[in-house]
Amino acid sequence: MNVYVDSILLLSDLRVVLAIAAGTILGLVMGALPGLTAAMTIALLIPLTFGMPPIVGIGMLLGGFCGAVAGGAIPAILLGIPGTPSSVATTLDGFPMARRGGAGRALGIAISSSFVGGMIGAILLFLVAPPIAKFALKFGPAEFFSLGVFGLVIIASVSGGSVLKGLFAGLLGLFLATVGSDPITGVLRFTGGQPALITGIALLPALIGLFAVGQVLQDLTSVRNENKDAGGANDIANAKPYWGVLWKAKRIVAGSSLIGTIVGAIPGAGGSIASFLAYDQAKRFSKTPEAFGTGHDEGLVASETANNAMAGGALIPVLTLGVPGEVATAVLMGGLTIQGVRPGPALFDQQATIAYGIFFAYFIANIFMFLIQLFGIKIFVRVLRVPPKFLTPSILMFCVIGVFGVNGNFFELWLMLGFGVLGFFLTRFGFGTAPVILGLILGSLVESNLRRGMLIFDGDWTQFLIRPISATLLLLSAVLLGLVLFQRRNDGEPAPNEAQ
Amino acid sequence: MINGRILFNLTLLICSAQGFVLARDLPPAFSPGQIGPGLFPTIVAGLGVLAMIAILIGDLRNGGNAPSSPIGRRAGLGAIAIVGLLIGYIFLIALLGFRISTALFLFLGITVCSLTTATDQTERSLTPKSFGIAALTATVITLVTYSIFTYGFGLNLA
Repeated sequence: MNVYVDSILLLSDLRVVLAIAAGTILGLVMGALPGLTAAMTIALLIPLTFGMPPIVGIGMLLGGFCGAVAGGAIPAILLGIPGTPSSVATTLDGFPMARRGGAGRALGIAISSSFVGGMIGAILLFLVAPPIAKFALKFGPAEFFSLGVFGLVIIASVSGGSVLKGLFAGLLGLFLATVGSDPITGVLRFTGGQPALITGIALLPALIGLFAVGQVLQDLTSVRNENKDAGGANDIANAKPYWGVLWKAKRIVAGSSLIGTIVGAIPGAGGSIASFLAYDQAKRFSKTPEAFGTGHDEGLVASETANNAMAGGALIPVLTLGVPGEVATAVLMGGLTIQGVRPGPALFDQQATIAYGIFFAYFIANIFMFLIQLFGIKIFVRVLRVPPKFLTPSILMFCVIGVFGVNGNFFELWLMLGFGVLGFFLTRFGFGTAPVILGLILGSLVESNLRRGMLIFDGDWTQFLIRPISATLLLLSAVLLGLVLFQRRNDGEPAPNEAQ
Repeated sequence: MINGRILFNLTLLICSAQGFVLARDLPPAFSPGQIGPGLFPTIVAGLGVLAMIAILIGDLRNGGNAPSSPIGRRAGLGAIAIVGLLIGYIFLIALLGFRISTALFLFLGITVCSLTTATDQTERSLTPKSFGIAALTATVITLVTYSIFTYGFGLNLA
């Protein structure tokens, strides 16, 4: 009980509340801009949190995460362009509703659905995460090694255009994680005589380079639609909560929230799958399935409830196992690590106040997300009209500030640029960037536990294969990899750019 | 035919092979049963080489021309120019400090993006007015950002 009180007291600091609010606003703005992803939002927010106490910084990152996921609905409804991948299904009914002159109603339903979905996801996170973490406390080096392999296989399987390319990207991240002084023997590895690399490749320039600079370059070279015609953008006076619509669709709300949370908790599944799955289920059980796709309330409710519940679900594997399941949470995990928080089973044991503080901060972030959208929707709609010519250089400037402002290290700026260019090509040619960052984050976990395990087991590597949890995780990795390869072979590999 | 995709694959293959060679040169384990500092990167780089060979073969079988959205000449030049500006920006921060280099980067960045991102022909034309707007925007963004980050977040942007 004390830990709950302590975490609530931790959040009672006004700075925490302000940081969550600021993060949510920035997240909503970024989410509302097509092309700017939740991952990029968090990557750009991380440098701002450096001077902050951990819980204040974490609050800001969580606010940014919540806001970016919810903000994606705004362009999806007004422009028919999803702001984030998780709001793709929102376009199906949101945009037709806006075109019919119901932009305000569509935004209102999206705002209230996002709030309800987000809160249900937060409650499920609160209930489910601690028991999983308790179970994971039984993990030893073999289990952690296998968990790292499992996480990499999952994200490599789903994030790139092809499984093999995703795996290569994960291996690239693992290799980059070995740069610097070897933690056990102190031998310098792959530093090329560069003193800045002795402590390894800094996570921040890699994150910002891959997810912000790379994304900007990607946006510059892709076909874009000018954001001039925000369909019905002036008709937003009706953007108010539609509790009646949600009550009427209560089964859809419950089902979509559950689908969203479960899909979010499955590493690798992601928000777009959650919202499409929920949308499909809602249509299947609806009395008016023919109305779906024409601006139907139920379609909008299903999509928005699911993708916001997904955000809560996605935090479950991050906080309990230290394995992010998709890009945004991989970046969020990087941010938490930089803040001194070690996501994983030990979090609930050694940093319980912080762990529960994260839960409560996530609840607050959802409330802010609702209130800020409700009262500030006009501002977020205006964000859509900012021309890309002002946005692109400004984002790059923030990238430079983010990396340089923290410790004034020019080498890290070059590193950021290098990762940006690498990220651009990796994305363009279907490798994906998420496995690289996950490899970079999980690299030390995988290597150190492999080496520690070999030491404990006296060089007997078969222990990794015969210990039940470790064996299960390795078997799951192999089965999943086989399944994905088999499915892709049958379907034909997707074109690299389609996967992005 | 060697295209961008194959060239990129080849670059990654060479880098992986180089990583493998470098990892093999690292000292061995200090005692039996232990893993030395080179084993893990050797395995990772080795797997990387194998994966890259398979990817390369797959892409060559597809003729190296698996569909990807083509980059227009204007958009490509815009991206190269932005990377060039970013390189210049990093150099200039060391020479001129944050404020002047940022204002310059933003001004040139807005100008480049005006030429490359606008779909409208009239918006692509550079007039004294558009230069004025770019200069004003660059100055305002620089000063506001500098003030917020220096005095608000306590970052050292000298």
